[in-house]
Amino acid sequence: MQNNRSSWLGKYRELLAAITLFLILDLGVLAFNTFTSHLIERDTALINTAGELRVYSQQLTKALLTLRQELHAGEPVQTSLAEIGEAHAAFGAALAQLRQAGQGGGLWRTSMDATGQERLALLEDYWGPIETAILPLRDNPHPIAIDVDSAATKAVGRNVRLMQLADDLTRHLEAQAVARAAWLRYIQVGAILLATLNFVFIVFKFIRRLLHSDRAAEQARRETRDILATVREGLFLLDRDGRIGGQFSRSLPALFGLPITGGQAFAPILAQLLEPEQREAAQDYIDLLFNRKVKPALLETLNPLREVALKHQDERRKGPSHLAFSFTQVQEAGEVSALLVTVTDISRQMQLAQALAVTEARAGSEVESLLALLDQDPAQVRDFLDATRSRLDQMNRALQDVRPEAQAYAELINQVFRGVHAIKGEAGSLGLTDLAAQAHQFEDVLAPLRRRHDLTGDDLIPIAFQVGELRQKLARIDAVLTRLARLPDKPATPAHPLTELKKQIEHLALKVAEDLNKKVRVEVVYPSPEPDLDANLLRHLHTMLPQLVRNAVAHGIEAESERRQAGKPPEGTLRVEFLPTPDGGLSLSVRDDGRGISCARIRARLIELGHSPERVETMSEKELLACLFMPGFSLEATAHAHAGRGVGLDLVRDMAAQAGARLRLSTLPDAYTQFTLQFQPMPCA
Amino acid sequence: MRLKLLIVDDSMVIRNRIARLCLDMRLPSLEIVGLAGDGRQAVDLAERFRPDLVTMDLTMPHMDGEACIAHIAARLPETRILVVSALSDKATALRALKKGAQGFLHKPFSDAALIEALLELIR
Repeated sequence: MQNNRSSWLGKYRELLAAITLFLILDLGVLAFNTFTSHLIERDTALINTAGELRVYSQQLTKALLTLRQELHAGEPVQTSLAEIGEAHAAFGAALAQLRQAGQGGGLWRTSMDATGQERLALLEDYWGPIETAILPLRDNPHPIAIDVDSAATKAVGRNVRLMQLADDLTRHLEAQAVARAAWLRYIQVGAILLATLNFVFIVFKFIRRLLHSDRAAEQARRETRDILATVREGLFLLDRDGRIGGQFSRSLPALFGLPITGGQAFAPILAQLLEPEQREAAQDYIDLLFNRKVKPALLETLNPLREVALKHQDERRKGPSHLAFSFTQVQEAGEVSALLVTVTDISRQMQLAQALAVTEARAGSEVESLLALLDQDPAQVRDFLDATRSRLDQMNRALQDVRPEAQAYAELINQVFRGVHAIKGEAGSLGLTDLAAQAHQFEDVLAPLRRRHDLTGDDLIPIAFQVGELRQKLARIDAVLTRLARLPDKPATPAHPLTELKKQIEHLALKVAEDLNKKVRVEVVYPSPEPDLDANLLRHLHTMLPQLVRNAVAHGIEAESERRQAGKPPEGTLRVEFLPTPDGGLSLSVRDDGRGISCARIRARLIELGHSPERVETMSEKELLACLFMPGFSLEATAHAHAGRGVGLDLVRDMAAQAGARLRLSTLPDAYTQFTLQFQPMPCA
Repeated sequence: MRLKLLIVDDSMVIRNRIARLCLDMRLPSLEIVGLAGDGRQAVDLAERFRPDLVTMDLTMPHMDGEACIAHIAARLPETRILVVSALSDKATALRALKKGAQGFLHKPFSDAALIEALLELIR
């Protein structure tokens, strides 16, 4: 406050000084005027007095002549004597007055200067003899004639000269007075000019200051406007009545996605932006900000709008998806008079944060997947990868060959969906969570398309993209597997390899059965304690067993309904037996109690594949069964997850040949199928 | 003048912990005038002893914390209330403050946090 006052005084000091000077000058001119008029009055009186001398001299001369005449005629003389006395006294008084006027000095001096006094002295010299002659007549009621004659003669003789002298004096005084008046006028005019100049100065100064402050105010307004127009944040003041102030940043409507006007209530805007619970919390928060009872530090931590997701946009409101609000209390006289609200668009940050979270999760699941790979049987994973790759190839082909009509698109999407779903399940069972997540994402893309009936070619584009994504994931897993396989060290042989193998067999069989909606019971039999097995032999087992197990569940064991019709228990049985042979070898049998292999079916499938019926008819049972081991041969016309690709038994045959094992197949239609592998004792074992 | 403190919480463990902590704080100016296990009891004790400070749980039988705060704030406007609750969302805290509480402390809380919150309320 003190500061305010001193700065206020400083600001107007010049103006105040100028006005004071103006007033002083005005007062000075007024005083000088009064003084001057007084002097002029005095000069005028003096001039009059000098003029009167002439009159009194005339009166005196006339009265003396009248007295002489009355004396000679013996008439009464009282009146003349009285006139003489009056004229004499008046003359004397006027002389005294003029004499006194010559005595003043400085500003107070009158127009009676040295020359005037000389003239006055001359006049007094002339007057002296007349006065002397008159003296005997004064106060004497009976004057003698001789005195009267002498006085009259002197008065008549000197009267003309005396009047001339009085005239001279009067003229001199007049000239002096005129000169002095002129001088006084100059002073007056000068003072008035000064006062006027001062006034002009004040006006000029005042106008300049006004213009200056106007310019400053305009500048400030423009700066505020520029700031509000340029700033990316939404800025506005919120008053106690919950209304938005008249000045707000231009970005505010875009941030809210709503038109905003000054004085508008804030609550309805919040209602359009926020879900009801959020809005309620926001309103409570704003109310508390105006309430001085709650500490600002506590409130700061409770801002429910620090990061807020906005309601879904629609046609009426377009704008950011996330906003950040910050509130600053504006205090006035110890009370919160308003809140300065800053609104920032944090959509991009939130998207980045979400993307980062997804990437982190993905990176995590990728690492998890790779770690999971280490726990899996590489052959099994390879098998899965092969199957998945061929599935994806099939999808790609189907995408290319699809007939351009909505119905065909719908069928294709259903087919792809089933395939992706299978990939997801298999990947999950192998612990490849990353791949499973990718497949899940693929399903999310497909799900809405499955519900539509108006599909067009464009709808297939994201499917092709997703197929590509899955392929990339497969390639990564493949690369890791290849590297693992290249590790120079001999793979560590587990302490109980057959127990491990048993777990994997059970896992795979149950999974395939589940996928094909079949029921299977797995029996794995091996001697206890486990025989020592050669590492090479184990590797062969790991490659071949999954194929045989998959085959048995997919082809051998029937669906539940089919089994019931055949009078079998609904649950199929898969029996895997490891049996050491007396010569130190190992016999492995994989047997299912399924439908067996019908030679008729093999024949039919061969004819279907283009072999000549005549040749096929003449083939023996052994020859027909041998066809099952041909590359690319499958009894299934269409491939599904676990069979039909024609890869499997040929692989087993090749591996058996490599391992020097004998492979046998025995089957009885509607009863069983059994593959037996007879491993020779290993030279190194 | 000693400040009168009322402790309101439906958990005896929490009540005793706050009480012991306040006694251990060696603040001679603090006097515990009551321990309430539910909202109704809290209101009764508050009206009888007119405490200066209340630590208030929110989820309680009979009368919940919010109703309790509103009641005490209306009857005893000078009483300062510190909410001590496991409800951690901001909306709950804001509602409690709006009803008339002046402080908010999340459960679980450390000894230091409770002392700080109480001191903040006294200041």
